[in-house]
This record gives sequence, structure tokens and C-alpha cells, in this order.
Amino acid sequence: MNWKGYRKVVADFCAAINDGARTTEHRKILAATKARRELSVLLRPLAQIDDASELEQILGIVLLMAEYDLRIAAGQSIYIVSATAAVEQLRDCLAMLAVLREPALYIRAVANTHTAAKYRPDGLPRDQMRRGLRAQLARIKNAIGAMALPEDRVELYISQRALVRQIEKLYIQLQRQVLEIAPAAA
Amino acid sequence: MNMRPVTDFPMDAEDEKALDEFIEACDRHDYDAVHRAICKIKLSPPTLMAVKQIEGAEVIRERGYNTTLADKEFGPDWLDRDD
Repeated sequence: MNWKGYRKVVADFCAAINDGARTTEHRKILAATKARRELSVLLRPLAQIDDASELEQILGIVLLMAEYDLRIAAGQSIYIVSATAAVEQLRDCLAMLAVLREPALYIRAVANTHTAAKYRPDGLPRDQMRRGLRAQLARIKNAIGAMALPEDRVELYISQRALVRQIEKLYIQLQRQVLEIAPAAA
Repeated sequence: MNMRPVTDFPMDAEDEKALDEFIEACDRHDYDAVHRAICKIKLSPPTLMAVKQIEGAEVIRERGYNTTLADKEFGPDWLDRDD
């Protein structure tokens, strides 16, 4: 996967969306709508990647979009709190992923925390990464539920949701490997 | 930095044409053409500042975004400054 090229395309669309935000010019608004639609299409194959070694790159794309979202939110006081939280959580997720990539460090990090069973469903710690991803999913769910949201925005949120779910799945796979916990029998 | 909003930077005829190319390229899912079109559009200074803050000045140069409006708004050395 050419991640550099992929990031470029995502950023092109984010720039068009950013340029179309808070303007009254019809063509720019139309271009932003098209960009959202294209971005939704582009994200779909990403949600099919089943290789945990690509997690940082996939998460990086979600973070890139959240950062552009935050710039659009600037000046819109109601939305900026949630957009800022999203970016911070995703940065924390990347940091947590780096810890998980060092199995000894991760095992030590979760040994003294997440000891209670309720913080370890199936024996897997519900750590910062998993809480962060859950918060992202809750944020997306709330956004999709917002009234009178245009179709192109809903489409993009649905694609983002699939992506975050895939990240969660791959992360849980990695947790199982590192902690040597077999999947629960169905 | 207090930035003027996107609405302060209206499009001209060239931008209109480039936006049409962008929209057509989107319809064809031709992402190389999307990139070529977006490089022709004079992106608004707030948008380019966002790109600089998120991805860095080098990325703007590398990708060849049109910085005409940002150069006028922030000064010709805005990409080299640390603000």
C-alpha cells in the first residue's frame, strides 16, 4: 500500500472540504460535497485491511481527517470541544499502539492496571486505545444521529465508523497475540 | 493569529474552471486529475494554513498547492516562518 500517496489524496479532499466550509460560494460547497463523497469511497477498502502491521498507518489516516475536522470546527464553539477531544484521543491511541508494539512494555503497563475482570473483558485490557476508539465510535454515532445532516456527511461518517471498527478489531487481535490469549470459544 | 474567514477570498474565473475540473475528476474517481485540479485552485489562506499546521510546509511545496492567496495574506515567507 502506498500510504504516502494515499495520505496525499485524503489531504486533497480534506483541503477541498475545508475550503468549502463556511463559504457561500456554490461551486466550492459543491466541491466539498463531492470531496466528502469521494473520501467515503476511498475509506471503504481501508476498512477491509486485515493486517495488524498496517494499524499505525490506518490510525494515521483517521487522525489526519480528525485534524482537518478540528480546523473546520475552529470558530464553531459548540463543535470544537468534541473535535479537539477526538484529536487528543487519537493521538493517545497512537501512543498506546506504540506501547503495544513493545510486548514486554505493554505487559508491564497493564499488569498493575486493568486488573479487575470488568476492565478485562475476555481477559483483554480495555486500555486507553480501546476506550479512545469507543469514544470515537460514540462521537460518530452522535454525529450520524444529528438532525438534518446532509447525505454526504452521513456517508463519510459511516465510512469512518467502519474504519474505526476495523482498527478496534485489529488492535484486539494484537492484544491477543501479545498477551497470548486465545479467542473465546463461540 | 487572527485569520480572515474563507468568505473573504472569493473565487475568480480561473478558480471556477479548476473547480469544474475537480468536480468532473471526482465523478470519474480519477484521483490524479483531482490532485492536478486542486493544485490549480487558489486555496484560501485559512485552508493552506491548516495544511501547514497539520502536515508541514514541506508537504505544501512537495504537493504543489497554489499558494497565491496565502502568499499575499501572510507574506511571501509564510511557509518558512515558524508561526
